Amino acid sequence: MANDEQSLREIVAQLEAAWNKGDSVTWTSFFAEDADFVHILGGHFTGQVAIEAGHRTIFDTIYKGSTLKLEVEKIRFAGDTVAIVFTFSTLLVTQPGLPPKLNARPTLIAQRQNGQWKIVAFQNTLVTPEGAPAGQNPLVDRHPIKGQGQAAGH
Amino acid sequence: MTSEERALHTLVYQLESAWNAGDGDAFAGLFAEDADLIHILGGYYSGRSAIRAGHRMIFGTIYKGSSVHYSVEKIKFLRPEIALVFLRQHLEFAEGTAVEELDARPTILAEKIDDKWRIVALQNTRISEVGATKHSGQLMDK
Repeated sequence: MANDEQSLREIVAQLEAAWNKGDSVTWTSFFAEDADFVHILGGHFTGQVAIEAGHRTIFDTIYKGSTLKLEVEKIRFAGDTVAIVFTFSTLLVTQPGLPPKLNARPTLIAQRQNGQWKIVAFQNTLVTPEGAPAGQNPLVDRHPIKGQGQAAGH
Repeated sequence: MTSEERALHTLVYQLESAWNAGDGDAFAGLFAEDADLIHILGGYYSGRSAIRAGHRMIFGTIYKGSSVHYSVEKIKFLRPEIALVFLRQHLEFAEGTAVEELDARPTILAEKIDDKWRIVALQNTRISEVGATKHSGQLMDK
């Protein structure tokens, strides 16, 4: 378990590094081929191809030059081949018109496949800042991928 | 549909019924003792008693008299006794005299413990597109 926990923390660190390089290919390499991804606006992508394309889009637009910090809040195992990794993210955004800082809780469901942990599901939820003006959300207005987004062919 | 899939659909139906009855105890009773829940605003409940208290609170206040509908979008078994259940949630609640609608995607990780499926983790994410609620019916039909 200690080794597994270390491997899962390493994946989180590598995801953070991939984001900070704007590298959607490396980002996606930690996911299983048929992984599911529910992003911060509630859209659901299925499969590595859709996950890579979606991240390439945001790395090139609203999150260009952004800095991500991912902190592991908790790891729990379900059996010995499934793990849930709860993280807290702080994203510093440099593009104009967006909030400069976004906090969220991305959760990874990982499965050990052929001796290697792969993300089979990823879900992100915005941590709503207290006192945010109602009905005003520049992230929603400017995000290139809206909440209804579906993976191609899904 | 296999019998395990049917059991997971029943779990989802029980969750919906508990919400619609405003019953925080029944809602929390579907979770494992040490379950984790990340709600729609990104807050974190750890453990069944925190989940119970949180839902009693919202069922007694903002979501009093609200009505929820969950549809199962996908079930993925990671092991025979561990499953991911992707849901779509439609919530209607009163705000003053107006009826507000909210669409979201709750995802459940369920585990069969002592021959009974329990929720070990649930995370909810609001679907934020402007005007999303108007199209939810069509999307759910797809």
